[in-house]
Amino acid sequence: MGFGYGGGPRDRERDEERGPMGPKARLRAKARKKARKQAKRMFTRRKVCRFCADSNLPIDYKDPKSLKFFVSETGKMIPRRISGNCARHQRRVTVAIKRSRQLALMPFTASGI
Amino acid sequence: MREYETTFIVQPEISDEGRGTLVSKLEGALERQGAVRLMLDDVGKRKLAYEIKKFQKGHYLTLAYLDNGAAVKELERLLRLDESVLRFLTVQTADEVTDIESRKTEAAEQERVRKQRAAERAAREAEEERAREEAIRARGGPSFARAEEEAVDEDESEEEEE
Repeated sequence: MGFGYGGGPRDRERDEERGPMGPKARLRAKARKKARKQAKRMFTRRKVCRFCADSNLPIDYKDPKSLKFFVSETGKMIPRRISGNCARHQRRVTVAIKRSRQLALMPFTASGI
Repeated sequence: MREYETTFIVQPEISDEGRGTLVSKLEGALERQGAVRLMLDDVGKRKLAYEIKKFQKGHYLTLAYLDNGAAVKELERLLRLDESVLRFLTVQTADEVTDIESRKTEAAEQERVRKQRAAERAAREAEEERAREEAIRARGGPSFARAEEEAVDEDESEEEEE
């Protein structure tokens, strides 16, 4: 009932047993529909890897300024699912950050000092 | 031949001559091992992200060269022996460089550009230093806390410009 298909056998049964949908049930159905819609929108907002989009963007361990985007404020690396990098470029970013840390260009942790 | 890049941090208090002798020593080692020196990049003094041997700043230098593996070992041995070197890192940047001469000229050009930029930066820093001193004098005697604060500000703006 109201789900975009004329009601399956279960819904028809339900009508016979419990009568038509009450106001509360209708509200719950509405909320479910809204939640489904939102979940869908979050999936479509998938980011594109910025290194794939611009192929001449370098990943350089000597340039901490460009790597700053991929660490949190405390100096931890940001996961792929948030940074939006593809697997290949995230791997390179990870290596660059680790090298950068060895050369004291980036912090291992920001709380230490 | 493979292309390598060795970045090392020298103590900030070491003079220009001291750094010069270290670099020439390294370059001599490269030559003896049959490696081809490509370029030296003097990044200058930078603030360290964390303290190393109680130093807050370090002088960064990068040496690029072509080699078959023998010089890397020797170079790292020399860097380990030198006490003014706080840290070093060697990275292989290219596999199988065949056209050595063209790579050499390319690197020389790059080095020239970098050197020019470094000289400009040094001149600007000297200018800023003078301006700061004048400002302190004009205010009538240096206030220590104030000067410290300004020094920190300078560092930040300088980083952004690079």
